[in-house]
Amino acid sequence: MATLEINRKMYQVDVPADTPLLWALRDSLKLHGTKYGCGIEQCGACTVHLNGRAVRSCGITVGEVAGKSVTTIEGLSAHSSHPVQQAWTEVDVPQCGYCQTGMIMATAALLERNPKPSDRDIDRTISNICRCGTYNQVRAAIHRAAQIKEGA
Amino acid sequence: MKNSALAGGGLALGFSGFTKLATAETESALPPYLHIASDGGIHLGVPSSEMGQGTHTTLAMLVAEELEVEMAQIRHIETLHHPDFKNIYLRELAPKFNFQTTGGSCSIQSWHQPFRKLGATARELLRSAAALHWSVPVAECIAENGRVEHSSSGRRLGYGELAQSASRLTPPDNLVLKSPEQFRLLGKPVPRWDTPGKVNGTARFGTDVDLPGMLYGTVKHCPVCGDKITKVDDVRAKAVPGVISVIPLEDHAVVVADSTWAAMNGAKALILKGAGGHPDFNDDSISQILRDDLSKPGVPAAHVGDPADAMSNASQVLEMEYEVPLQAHAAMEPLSATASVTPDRCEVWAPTQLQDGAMMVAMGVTELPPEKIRIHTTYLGGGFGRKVDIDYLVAPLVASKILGKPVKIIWSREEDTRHDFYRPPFLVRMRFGLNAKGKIEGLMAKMVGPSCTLHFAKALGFFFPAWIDENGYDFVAAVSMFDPFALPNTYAIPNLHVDYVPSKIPINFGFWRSTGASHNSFALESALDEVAYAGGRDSYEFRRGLLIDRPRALFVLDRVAELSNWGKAPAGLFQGISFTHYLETFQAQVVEVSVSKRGKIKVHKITCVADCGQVFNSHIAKQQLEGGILYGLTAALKGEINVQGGQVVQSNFDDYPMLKLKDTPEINVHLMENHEAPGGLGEAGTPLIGPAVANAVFAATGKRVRRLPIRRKDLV
Repeated sequence: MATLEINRKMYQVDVPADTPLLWALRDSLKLHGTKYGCGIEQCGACTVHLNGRAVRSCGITVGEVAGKSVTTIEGLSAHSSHPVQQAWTEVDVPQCGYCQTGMIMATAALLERNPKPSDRDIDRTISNICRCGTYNQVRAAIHRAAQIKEGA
Repeated sequence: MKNSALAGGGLALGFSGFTKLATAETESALPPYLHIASDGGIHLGVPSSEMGQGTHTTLAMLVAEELEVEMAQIRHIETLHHPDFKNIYLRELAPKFNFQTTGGSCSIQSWHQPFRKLGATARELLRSAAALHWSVPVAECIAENGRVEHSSSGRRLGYGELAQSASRLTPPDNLVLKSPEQFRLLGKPVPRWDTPGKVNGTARFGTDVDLPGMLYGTVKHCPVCGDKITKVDDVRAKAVPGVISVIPLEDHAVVVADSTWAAMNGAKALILKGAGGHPDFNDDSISQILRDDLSKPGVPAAHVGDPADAMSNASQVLEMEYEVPLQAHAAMEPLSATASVTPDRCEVWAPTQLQDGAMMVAMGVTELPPEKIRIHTTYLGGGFGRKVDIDYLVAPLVASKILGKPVKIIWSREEDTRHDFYRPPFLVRMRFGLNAKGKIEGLMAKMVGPSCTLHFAKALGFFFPAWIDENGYDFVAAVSMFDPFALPNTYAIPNLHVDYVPSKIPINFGFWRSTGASHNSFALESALDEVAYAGGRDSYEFRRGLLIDRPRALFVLDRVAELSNWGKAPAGLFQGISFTHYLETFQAQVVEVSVSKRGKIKVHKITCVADCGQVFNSHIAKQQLEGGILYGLTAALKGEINVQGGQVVQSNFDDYPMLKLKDTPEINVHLMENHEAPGGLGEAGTPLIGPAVANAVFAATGKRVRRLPIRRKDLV
């Protein structure tokens, strides 16, 4: 039994401590917005925030997140009001959408540390994989989100 | 069209009679496609699976345009498994192929007219209902923005208020569809209907299905291709906490547990012994088979004029060969499906591109009649042709039937990569006969490789010409190499002959975004570049000469040259060009690359011009072309699938790398504006980028690329 703080609420999760956070979120807590893509921290579809930093939840265990604060896409904002979600909607980025929640979480964490990322910053930081090829719209939406955030 | 009053009230429409297979019995047992509720909310059932290509949005726009509602009034869109929804376009190509499927980039070609008619029929019924209500002529009743207004009195009734009475009227016979000048929505970059759920995490994919009492599972295959299980050692697997059951099937086993993680750990601990496969098979065996088959005659795939004569009279013959290896689909969502089987009922939730195939598997496993089975289609986290195949539906059905509970199966990325239905390896030989002026008088082409479709014909138990024929012909292997659609629309070569040799290679092959065009365009577009260069001609001008009598093709080619500043690349950058008529879409691309001394290729800019006829959503159309281009660019510059010891070498994104944001160049997509019949777009961008890059690499380095993906070591 592990106690997790997810989206500002405490949960008791009955899984072994070495269970990846990803599977506790998805199977135990039914927070399905965080996706499984590779299981080896390569694709970023499972990106969540751990104490505000982007982490790939397939590579961190339930035991390791005890006492820390986890935010998933479901807890990023009410009504998609986060600047990154607003920008994503405005640019109309998604295609299949499977990687997009991870992209959004990675971007939201980037903007917390770097409110006006350059293209180079984006290239270095956003290494999530999208097979539909939304990358140029993702880049446009990141710049737009920075603008929205600045104006907020 | 058939109108039926719903128990719950409102107007429900289906186009019974539109397709031959719709029968009264099946329709009454199934939900309607268009339902206007008494509160005005519109619920829409569509034939096509939504896998990123935006088909839900575009189909809803087609209805909304004619129905005179805003997109906000469309409350629900769902892919329905329905006998009316057999793929019209593919059935016209191959009459015996009569299935509900989303593939071949033809959703809009299939459904744009039926869905506009659906909207227009509902609109006319609502106008008639209002006219009856007010006792005024129908002509005075104007449908607009979800309501009907009486022109002279200004009285108004919302669609929701009219739906019940409209449902009792007879649909009109003579529908007048709007002309393109009247379009409010069609052609515009209308926001995708599915974006909100994909931005807040509520969009439900195959992996997200959740049912009360559901168990979780995964699969493990025999690693060697063709092996069948002979022995299962599941002692350690069953000792993994949470593992409930290990169920061996023919070539794979299902591990069921109380969580996905436990199931995956169980699968890791499971030992399968197999036999009967091909442990000696490797990359060299594949190359050898293709090379041996090159001397075989094959089946004719295209023929014009007298190519033998043209070749023997040629003053110069140029011959070249091009090769491509296996590629995996690598959709972001690994294969997944969920089933709930009870003795008298079966439900399947699947991110499938082939609803009728899911039904067949469900019938086979459960032995239930179709009326007791429901196939629900979730969003697909990418399809790219992989989810046309039905192998991944067996495990959840069998497990649920045995265990008596709903079971959700998710494949690991490793299983997904190693047990794909791959883009087949191909070898294409091009032989051109030129006259003294360097003009092409004859072409002999031969495509050698396994059929994508054969496994499908075997599974169904019959061939379906003119797609796949008993003699070995496979349209999708030959597509884009002067196939029957392309022939009148592509390069005019006075004498040509194309053969296809279907190779036998004991690996699963299937439909990979752009299928045969992915190797045929690479071969043809590279070869034309070589012929142009050999004659000292500019590659664009040379193509121009071959397309001079094809006005739509010529427009596209000229436009791409103009927009890309063809011939005027910035210093240090080099251009490559390609053209195709594929999916009834004319398209040309120009790419700008630089190549470092160490052979590192950087793609700087891609210009794409497409004439796909009438465009219904310009935003989605551009997304599709751009996405298709990046899918092809990954296959041109990144990894490939290798086989050693009968096993696929690659397993995950660490050894099968994908293009990322940092690798993505500027892409400018330009759509020609006209009202020609719509062509396909979903796969259109993929095949042209490889040859465009290869031609640019030649311009930069003088090294001709004859195999994709381009390897750095070949350029230094």
